Amino acid sequence: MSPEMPVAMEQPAASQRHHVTRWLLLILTTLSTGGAVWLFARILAVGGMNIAEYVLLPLFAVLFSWVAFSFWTATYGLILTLNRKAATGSKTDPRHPSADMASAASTTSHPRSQTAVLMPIYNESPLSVFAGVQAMLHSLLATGQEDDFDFFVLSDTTDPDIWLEEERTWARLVAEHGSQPRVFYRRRPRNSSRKAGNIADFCSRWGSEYEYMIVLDADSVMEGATLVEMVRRMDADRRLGILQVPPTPVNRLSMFARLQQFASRLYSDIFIQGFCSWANFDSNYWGHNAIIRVQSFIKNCGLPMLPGKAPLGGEILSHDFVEAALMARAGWKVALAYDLGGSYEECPTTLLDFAKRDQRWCQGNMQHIRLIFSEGFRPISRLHLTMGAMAYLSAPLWLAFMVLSVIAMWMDGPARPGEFTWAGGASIIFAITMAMLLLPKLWSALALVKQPVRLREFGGWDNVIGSVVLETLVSILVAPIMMFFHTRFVLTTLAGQKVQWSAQNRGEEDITLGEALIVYGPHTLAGILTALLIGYFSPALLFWFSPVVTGLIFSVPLAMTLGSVRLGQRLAQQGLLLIPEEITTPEILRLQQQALAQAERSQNQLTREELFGTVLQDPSFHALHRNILFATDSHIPASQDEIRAISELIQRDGPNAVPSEARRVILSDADALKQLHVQVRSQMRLNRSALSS
Amino acid sequence: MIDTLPMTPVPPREISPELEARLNLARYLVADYLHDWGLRDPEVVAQESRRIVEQAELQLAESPRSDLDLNAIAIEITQAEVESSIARMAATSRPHVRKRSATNNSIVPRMGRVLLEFPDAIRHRDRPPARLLQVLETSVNPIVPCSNPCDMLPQPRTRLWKVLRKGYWYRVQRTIWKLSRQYAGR
Repeated sequence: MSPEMPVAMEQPAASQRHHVTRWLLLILTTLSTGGAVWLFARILAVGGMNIAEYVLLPLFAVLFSWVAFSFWTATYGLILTLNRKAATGSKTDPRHPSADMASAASTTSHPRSQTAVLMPIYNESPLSVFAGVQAMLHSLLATGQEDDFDFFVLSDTTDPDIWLEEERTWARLVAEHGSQPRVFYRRRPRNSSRKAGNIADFCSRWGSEYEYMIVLDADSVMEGATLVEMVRRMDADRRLGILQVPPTPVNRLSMFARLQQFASRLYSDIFIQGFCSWANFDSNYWGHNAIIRVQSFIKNCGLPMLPGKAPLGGEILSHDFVEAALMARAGWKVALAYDLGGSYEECPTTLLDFAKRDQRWCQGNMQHIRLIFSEGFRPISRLHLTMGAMAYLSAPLWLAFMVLSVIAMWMDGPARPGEFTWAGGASIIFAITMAMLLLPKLWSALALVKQPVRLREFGGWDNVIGSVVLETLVSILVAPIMMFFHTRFVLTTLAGQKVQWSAQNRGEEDITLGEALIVYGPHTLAGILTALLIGYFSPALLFWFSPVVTGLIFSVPLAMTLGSVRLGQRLAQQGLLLIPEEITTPEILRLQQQALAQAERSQNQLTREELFGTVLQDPSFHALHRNILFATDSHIPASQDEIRAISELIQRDGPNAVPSEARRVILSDADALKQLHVQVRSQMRLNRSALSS
Repeated sequence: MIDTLPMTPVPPREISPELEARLNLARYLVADYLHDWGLRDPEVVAQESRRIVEQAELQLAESPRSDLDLNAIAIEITQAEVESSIARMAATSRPHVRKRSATNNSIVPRMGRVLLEFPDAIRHRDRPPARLLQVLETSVNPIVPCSNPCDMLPQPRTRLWKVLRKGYWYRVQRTIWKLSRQYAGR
């Protein structure tokens, strides 16, 4: 069958199974939402409904249905996990749709298709990036199938010093590493359309040479065996367009990061199983740690421009969901291989970094709202886009719900004796909602009963129970802070304010008191004001709002505590928030740590800022940089006036005095760089010889 | 050309002490440059720097420009010669790479080490000895593969559902208006 012509046809049994699951989840969500709305309407109807209550009811229906859908997905995931025959810690599940692919693939001993492994980077730490690449190279070499893979480090870096460091680190890697797999380096002079544009540039230059591409993130690493298995599965199913492997967050030390790592590692299992049961081959793509059929991607996934201006119009910022929807629209399967391990990523280390990342994603996901109501997409793709948008829209909706609740109660006035009161009814609704939010955490722990190996990997029941309690408490406190952040992001996006897409901070730095006060001061004030207002107008409600206001009032110390690396490590010593990868380090992560340590050792005494001076002086580094410029068609001539001004500055104050933008100009112009190289070589040595004589 | 260098001694000529100092400085700079590339053999370095500075002197004498500097010309010649020597050696060691690439699409990241092991390598850039070729074959790395461009065209613009488009409601409004006028006309 030609891979360009997918046929929308599935095995009847598998197709029926996921259709039944979809209907089942829809019915359960509708019934539970209907019941909760009926109960809520009864509460509101006491003493007649006021205007605020008329708005509250549909708002509650939307929010509750969302919580209910998530709850039933997790519950279904739990049932699947408990019924799983192979109750081991390994991730291989023979009942997963991709297991058919896997078994078919296992007959093929060797992936025959040429695959490009792409690592798009943007102002990241070159040492970390290339340590990841080196680890994957070694891991791939161990599989003996390295000849079928090429690595591409696709740089969109704008910082000239990081650019130079990338080149040096790449050159060092290829010098130390053998000829296969090959590692290529390309930097785009203009980073148009960000990561999506970076990938599209690869596709249009080299895409025709490869059957598949495995897209990674700057902080992703994948086991060689996983890379090989992904290719095998694609080979086995010629209708599979995208195969996503869920990444596990690892490597971070701060308390906040370790909370995320633990939550993702323990809770995501049942959610992903539930998700796969209804999504099946209409699954989603998360932008990295996925393999894509290149030709169908080139043909179907060129991103359209959205009508209107940024931030809601223009270039599509969050490309992954849209690419999955476009692929599915063209009839290709999009699957999630939850049974595959060996896929890792890193997560933000502080609450603020997490919020910054969310701000970028929020704007991208808000753009998707238009696509939900556009022609041509499959219904499940619309659901994925809606889920993405709701991840942020739910925050202002919950805030509006809380504000309206207070207003409604204030408008109702005091309850008459013997009447079914707000407080009583609200407690039932509150309990149901909280149960639906928190029970999936309990389900995840329960699933361990049937997974003794996995339980051991988490360090036993004591560690798991202690960690779940701690994570739950912290997540309750953090939720209102994130609600405020998300509300602000949604409102600023809708108001037309664009987000600067800066590089993600991937370091481990504690947050200072000053920073915390600047960022979380407004949260604290909002918490105090809310508590005062509720206490004054409806003191009975204060109890129900206590989780919200407590998190807000203590947001400054909370953010500082969560960002602490020392506390994160102390908790690890106590056996709390441990993930299996912290107890037994997987080979790929060990290789990555080794490579990073080796790179840091072999890095000579030069700081990043001194590299500009070095490229002007060191002939081999200079030749390396110019060769890369020519080979990647990145030579951009600078104006003579600019070159003259920079030349004079170097002559007067030395290369370190050249500002960043001017460095970028010179580094982009191979001829100007050569001119300055000759100038520096003559004059710097002249000075030295004059001094010595 | 490094590999066509006449090895017979050139008869000494009469030069002033100032010129001698200038030439020595230029030779020193060239020698330093070659040293930074990894050339360590003092004999090769001395011969090359002398030859390159002579070439620079000639170029300076023939040039009508007055702003040129002997040191800069000497460095420029050295750079061009070393880089082209390395590029030619790299291409000779991997002929398949040369065929597919129109640009100088390769690097020799450990050239310093190669030159340390083969101090006279740049003399033989067109006919490198077999041992050197072997070393180069494992040392040369392509920067990017040969590109084979194909277009990745954007998908057509997404169209909102009909009921959400302004035009649809404009047409509905017009139809209602038309019908109501017809009805009123009867």
